Formats: sequence, C-alpha cells, structure tokens
Amino acid sequence: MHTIENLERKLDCLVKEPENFLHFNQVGVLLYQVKDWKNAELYFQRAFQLNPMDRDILYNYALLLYQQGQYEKAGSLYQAYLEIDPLDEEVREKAGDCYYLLGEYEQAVRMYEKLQKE
Amino acid sequence: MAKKKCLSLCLITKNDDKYLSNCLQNMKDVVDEIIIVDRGSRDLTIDIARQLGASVYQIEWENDYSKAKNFCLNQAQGRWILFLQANEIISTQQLKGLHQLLENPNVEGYLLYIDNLSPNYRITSPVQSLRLIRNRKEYQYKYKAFERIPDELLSNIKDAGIRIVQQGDLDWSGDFDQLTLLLEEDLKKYPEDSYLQYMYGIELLNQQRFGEGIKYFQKARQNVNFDYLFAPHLYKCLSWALISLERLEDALDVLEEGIKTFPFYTDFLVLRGELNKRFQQYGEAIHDLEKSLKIREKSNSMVPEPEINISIIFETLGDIHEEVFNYRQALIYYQRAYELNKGNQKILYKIGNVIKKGNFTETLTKLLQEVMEQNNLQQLMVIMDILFRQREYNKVLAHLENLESLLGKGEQTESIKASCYMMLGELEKAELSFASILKESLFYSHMLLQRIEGYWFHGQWQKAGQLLKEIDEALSIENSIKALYHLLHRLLTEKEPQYIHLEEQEYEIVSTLMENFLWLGKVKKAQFLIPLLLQREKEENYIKLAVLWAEQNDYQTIEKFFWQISNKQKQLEFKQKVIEQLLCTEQIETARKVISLGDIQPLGPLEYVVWSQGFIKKLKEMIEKINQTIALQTPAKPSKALAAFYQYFGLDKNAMNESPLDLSALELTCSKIHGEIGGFYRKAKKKQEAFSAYLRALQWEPLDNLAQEKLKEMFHESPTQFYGFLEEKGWLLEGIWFQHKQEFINYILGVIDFRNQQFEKASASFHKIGEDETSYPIALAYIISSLWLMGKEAEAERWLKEQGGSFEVGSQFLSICKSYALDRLNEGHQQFPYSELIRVEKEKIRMG
Repeated sequence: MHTIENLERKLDCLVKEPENFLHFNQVGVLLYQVKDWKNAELYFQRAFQLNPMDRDILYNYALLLYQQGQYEKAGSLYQAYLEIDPLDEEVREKAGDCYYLLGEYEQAVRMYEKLQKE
Repeated sequence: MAKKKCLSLCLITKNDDKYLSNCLQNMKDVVDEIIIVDRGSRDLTIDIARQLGASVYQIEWENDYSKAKNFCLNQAQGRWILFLQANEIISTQQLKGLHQLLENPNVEGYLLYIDNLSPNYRITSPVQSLRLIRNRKEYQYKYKAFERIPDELLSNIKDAGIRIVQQGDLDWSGDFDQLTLLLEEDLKKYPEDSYLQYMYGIELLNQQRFGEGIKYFQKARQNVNFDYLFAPHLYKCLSWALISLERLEDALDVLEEGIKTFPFYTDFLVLRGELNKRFQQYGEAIHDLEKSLKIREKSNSMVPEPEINISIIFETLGDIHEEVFNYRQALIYYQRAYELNKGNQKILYKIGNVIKKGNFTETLTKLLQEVMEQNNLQQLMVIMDILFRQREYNKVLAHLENLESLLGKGEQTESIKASCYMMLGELEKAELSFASILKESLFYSHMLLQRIEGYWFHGQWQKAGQLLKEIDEALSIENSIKALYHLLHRLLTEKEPQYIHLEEQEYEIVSTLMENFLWLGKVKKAQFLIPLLLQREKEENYIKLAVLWAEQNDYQTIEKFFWQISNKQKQLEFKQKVIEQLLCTEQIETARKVISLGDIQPLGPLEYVVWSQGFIKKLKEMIEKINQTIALQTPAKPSKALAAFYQYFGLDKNAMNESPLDLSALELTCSKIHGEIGGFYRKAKKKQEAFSAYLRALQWEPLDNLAQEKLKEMFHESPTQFYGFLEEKGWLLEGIWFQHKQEFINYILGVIDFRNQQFEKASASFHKIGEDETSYPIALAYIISSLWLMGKEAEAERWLKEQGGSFEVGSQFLSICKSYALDRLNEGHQQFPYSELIRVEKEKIRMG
C-alpha cells in the first residue's frame, strides 16, 4: 500500500487512540520513510514520552537523532536501549560510534570492549 | 620366463662412424637393447654398432623417415622407446633420472629438448623433441619427413626435464634440402594438414623467407586444433615472422590470441613485452615480462615448455628499466641475468653502465672481489675495462697486479698502466711504461697515438709535434689516421683547421678525445672538436655526446647537437637523455630550455620531475630571500582513551589477538588515529562517521594531506550531503587550531577548493577567517600559497614579508606547496608507476 495512504490510516488510528505509543511510533516510521525528519522526530519523541522502555521506539528515535547529528541525545537513548537488551550487538556498535562522534572515547571503548567480549 | 625389456634405444644411421661410438657408449648401460636401422652407410657405422652390442637392420632407403622409424618400433621389445641421432648424447647426470620417468603410469610420452651447439641456429618444432614414447602398436609415425605420431593417437605428454646435446654437425646441408623436398611431397598429398603447413612455414622461416612463411602459418592457424603439441609454437612462429617483417600490429593480434589460448606458454608474454618496449609502452612491457617470470616460477608443467631463456627476460627487464632511468631496478635485473649466464660479457658491461649512471660503485667493487676470488681471467678483464671506461684509473692500477698474476706481466698490462698514468697526469711514470713496449710489438703504434693524446691533454704541444713525425714513419698506422692526428694537432694548437669527413673509426677517436678533454676540465679544447663531430650522418652519436655537454651544463653546445637531429623520435630520445643528465646536477633552467627545443613532445616521468624540481627550487629561493626559518611542529599525541578506542576498533576489524594497549597506538598522532578511523568507517560504508573522523583529523593537524584528500573525495561523491552535514554543525570540535565551528567550515571549504585547484575560490574562503582566529596563520599560509600557485609570485612574496611575520606562516606555506608538489607527483606516479625518478623525487620532497 502507498505510504501516504498508510500514513492517513495511522493518523486516523491516532485520533481514535491519542495515547497509544505504538501509533505514534508507526507514524514516526512512515514520516521517516518519506524523509520528513522534523515531524518524524516529534512523533518518536511523543512515543518515547508515552513509553520510554519500548525497544523499537528507543531504536527508531535514536537512529533519527543520530542521523540529525544529535549525538548526545542519541547516545543516551542507545544507553537506555542497552539496559533493556544488553546483548544487542548492532546497538552496542551504534552506541560506540555515537560516543566516538561525541569525543567520549572512554565510553566508546567500553562499548567496543563489551562487543568484543561477547 | 625372460623379464620384459624396459627401454629400447633406436637410431636411424647413415655414415655416422664419427659420432656413433660416443653415443652408444654413453647410452649402453642405461638401455636394455639398442636397435639400429641403417639406411646405407658406407663407412664403419655398422661395424661400430655391432661391436657395441646393437641389433643392426640394413634397410633399403625409400626417402621415408616414418617408414624407418616404424620399422624400429616393430623390432623394439622394450616397454619404452628412446629415439636419438648418432651425434646426440645425454649427460651422465641427466641420465640418472631417466628410469624414474618410465615408472609414471600416467604418461605416454616425454619431450627431451635439444641443445644444438652448432653456430647455425635453426628453428625446430617441439614435435621433434618427442623422443621417449611408450611402445604401443597404435603409435605409428606419419609423413616422409619431420615424422610425427598424430596427436589424436598420442596424448598425456610431459616434459622429461632432460636435455639432449647435439654435438658438431652431421653433414646435414644436403639433408635439409632433401627434407624440404619430402615435406613438399607430403604437403601435396595432404594440403590441408596443419602440421605440414606449420613445418613448411618453419623451413621458410629458417631460409629467412618470412612473407611466404606467414602464409603457411596462417593456413595452419585456421586448421590447427589447440590441443596439438605444436599449436603454441605455431602461434609463436607466426608472430615472430610478422615481427621480422615489422608488421607489429598484426604480430600483437596473434600474441594476444596466443596469451588467451595458451596462458602458460609465457613466450607470448615475453614477445608482447618486447613489442611494448618498442612502442615505448614501458609500464605494459614491464608488466608482461614480470608476469611471464611469475608464471614460470609457479608452473613448470607447461608442455611444450616456453623456449625463451629466463636470463633473457631478466636482461630485457634491465634494458627497459635502464631506458626509463630506473638504474637501481635495472641493476637488480642485470645482476639476476648475469647470475644465470655468467659467460655473457655483454651483461657485465650493462651492469657496469648502470653502476656508473646510478653511482652504485660498491656493487662494482663487490663484483671485482668476486671475480678475483674465482681467478676468472675473462671476467676480470671485462671488469678492469669497465673500471677504465669509468675513469677509475687509481683502482685499475691498484688491481693490475691481480691481472698480471693471471695474464702474466707484459706489454698488455704495461700499456694499461701507461694509459692510466697518462690520464692521471703522471707523465713520467707513463713514459716508463711506454718504454717497456718494444717497437715491434702489436701495441706499439696504438701506444704511440696514445702518447700524442697524452701530450695534448697536458699541453705539451712540442713533444706531441715530435711524436707526429714518428707516426709518419710507422708503417702499421693507416694514412687516414696519420692525417687525422695532424689535423687534430693543428686544430688544438689553434692553427687554421681544415675540417674533413670522418670515417667510423676516426669519429670514435675524435669523440673519445673530446670526452677525455671534458673529463680533464679542458672545455675549450673539447669545443674545438665539435665541428668535426657535427656530421649529419653520425646523428646516432649525438645523444651520447650531448649528454657529456649536459654534464657541463653547456646549453649552447647541447642545442647545436639537437638541431642536427632530423628524426622526431630521436629528438625525443635526445631530450630525455639530456634532461635526465641535467636533473642529476639540478640544472633546471637548462632542462626547461631543452624541453622547449623543437616540437613540444611528451617526456613521460621526466616532465613531472622537471616541474617538481623547478617548483621546489623556486620555493626555497623565495623562503631564503625573506629570511624565514622553517620550524618543525610537534603534532599532538592521543589520549589513552582515544588510543584504546583506536586499538579496539582495529581489533574488531582485523580480529587480532587480545593484548594490552598497544604502545604503538600511543606513539601515533591524534590526526593519524582519526584518519585511520575514518578509513575503517569508510570501508564499513559509514559515511557520516568517516566524514566526522577525517574532519577531526584536520582539527588536530590542519595540513594532514591524507585526511584532506579523503575529505575532498567524499565531498566530490556527495557534495550536498556533506555540505548539509557541515552546516548543521552537529559535529564536535577538537584540537587547538579551531575555536569556532564557522571558522572550521570556512577552512574546510577553502581546503577542498584548494585541492581542486580552484585557488581563487579557496582564497575567498580563507579570507573569511579573521585575524583574531587561532587558525589565521594557516589560512594566511593558504592565501599566500594560492597566490603563488596562480603565478602571482611577487604578490605572494609581499604577503609573506608583510603579513606573515611569524615563521609559522612561512613553514606552513612551504608545507602546503610541498603537498601540492607531492600531489602532482602522485598523478605522475599513477601514470608511470614504474618510474624510479618520480619515487626518488617524492622522497626528496618529503625528506627536505
């Protein structure tokens, strides 16, 4: 189905269930797909506020922020994700790269160290 | 039951008593039976054969070699059959391996290559080397001459690794004519037979009838099956005939097909390498020849094996490297060729030549020692000659004793001594040596002329004049030579000269004389000889002579020689050789003048080196003029955390062993570490991370050449993405050079434009960096460099004097310009990857 149509459907769902973090995340993903970064960020932010422990939301939100050069915020989201799922190697690598970009080399080393041990 | 015989030796003989005994004695203990089929000998052949235990069959000769050989096969009882000619032997050492070959169940026949010691070289087919075959009923020879068992019947052939030595020459002259007639008869009978067409082509090639040979090879090429034993040799013969007729493009086509079809028959690569050398495609030529060596190293199972000797491949590689001024590489290859063929004096002279050009005197000393230890007179004489030609007169005198111990003391060594002393200006000692040469001696008249030259060299005109009278009476000296010495005496004493036409020997005398005067520093006297040497038909000598004047940096004389050369190709060669000599002594201005002589011609790697030397020289002069001292900066070292991150990064990628923090990482600079991290990220296709890493490398070391180049490349790949990335300023600012992100953005944009040689645009970006910013001195250095590279040298100099008060700017300006020069040289390196000149020039810039 076309992304725009999909988006309209999801927005309808949101009107019906304005507190559903999944809807916010799904809208964020669709906006991300159409490269509307700003709005995607707003939806991911809201989804995160509603459920700061959801791995998908943490992953998506961090990815978007990272791409936007907001490494500090992305770093803390990756950290939160790793507290829930410390064995996710992909996120650990992403977190390592994020800390490198932030110039926090000690933190970056820690990420890679664990990655290597695992 | 009698044990089955293993090996039968078969020979077809006719009047072979001269060699037969030798051959049979050589073989009788190795074979189980000897079968001789004689085709009508009238000498002692049959008696000798019987005495040595051979079974002899006398047949009526029907002009059919296949019939005779098939008769042998029918009589032989061995499981294997070896065919030899009466004048052939195999060394005892090689024979030891023969029986082992017969044990291999997977082989049906072996090739035993033939070394012919006769000076009349003839091309032969590898088919004629198939001498050892299994004795099977179905293996029957075909054709009256150049008999062959068809490939369809006989497969699984290997190289025996044993060579047959053909002694002397049987009385073959008549036989070759007869063989050719028989071959023609066979061809009439089987006109479409590719083997006969190929063999007839070879016979025509042996008679130097290349054009006709090509027709037969072409026909054979259409009919041949690629599995035939002779197929690669057919292609080689065809290409060889085409090369002999200068049909080089056609030859290349055949070679290309040969390389594709028979990739292990490396002679094709060698021949293509030779052609590329002739086309002056040196990179391609080196590639072909080196590839042929690699294939030969890896695989020795090609049947038939390539014929071109490895020492020839090494020598050709040496020639090419010498041609492109890669003297070190040339020396290495010549030495390898010499190791494989120590009897080749020509290679020794080539070694001497590159030793002189590349100034590798130690190698010559080592060679001399080696030859003296081996007491090898021939080689010692060559090396002494090389030393003499290189004007190492003291060394020659010092080692003359060794020569005397081998050669004996006598007039030959005395004449060498005399010549050395004469060149060294020790005339009394020279006279003493001259005195020991008797008037009747063969050396006397030669030494008489040498003495005259010696007096000329040292300004003793009267003595020279007296000796001239003596040569008039010497009967062994030709009149033309006497006349030449009189003319030279008049010329050198500045009397009215009469120029004459010189024959080859006379030209040689005058050019050597000129060279000697130059070596002695008597340039004016050398100049007197130039009009004699400027004779149009001698233009092949002009390059060598002009190189001598290039050593003197005498542009006027160089120009005189240049304008006498009519051929454009020779003019190019002239320029290249002369410029190379001028560059040895950094005579850039003269080199530039030589470049602009005549038509503008591409000079290959030299163009880059002349440009670079000129550029750097001018740069240094300018720095000296404004009295700048160049300061070396110490780049920042990484923190432990960064070094550890770098190491983990490396470990992750390279899966190396776990080890404590590698100290070498701490020894790297911050810039280098970020640069390498950038490289890792780029490989992992993490563009954003790679871009950030390279940016950070420049924050620590703004002039880091590698990081600058990588950023330029990445910017070129996706300009919008990276411009956006820079503008969003999400990245971190590290290091001491930049305090503000906008300042750094201006710097990066300036650097990218600068590296794209858009100096005006680059300068505009650098101008945006204010005087109060920390990076201002570098921005200023870039502004000045941009002016310099735009040709606004005076303006650049003024800026450097007025605004670049600190030596920091001067040193950065120099670094920037050097990087620019290195980039240009890298372009040259990509175009001419084999060039030692460019590599050495790069090293000089880096070290200077």
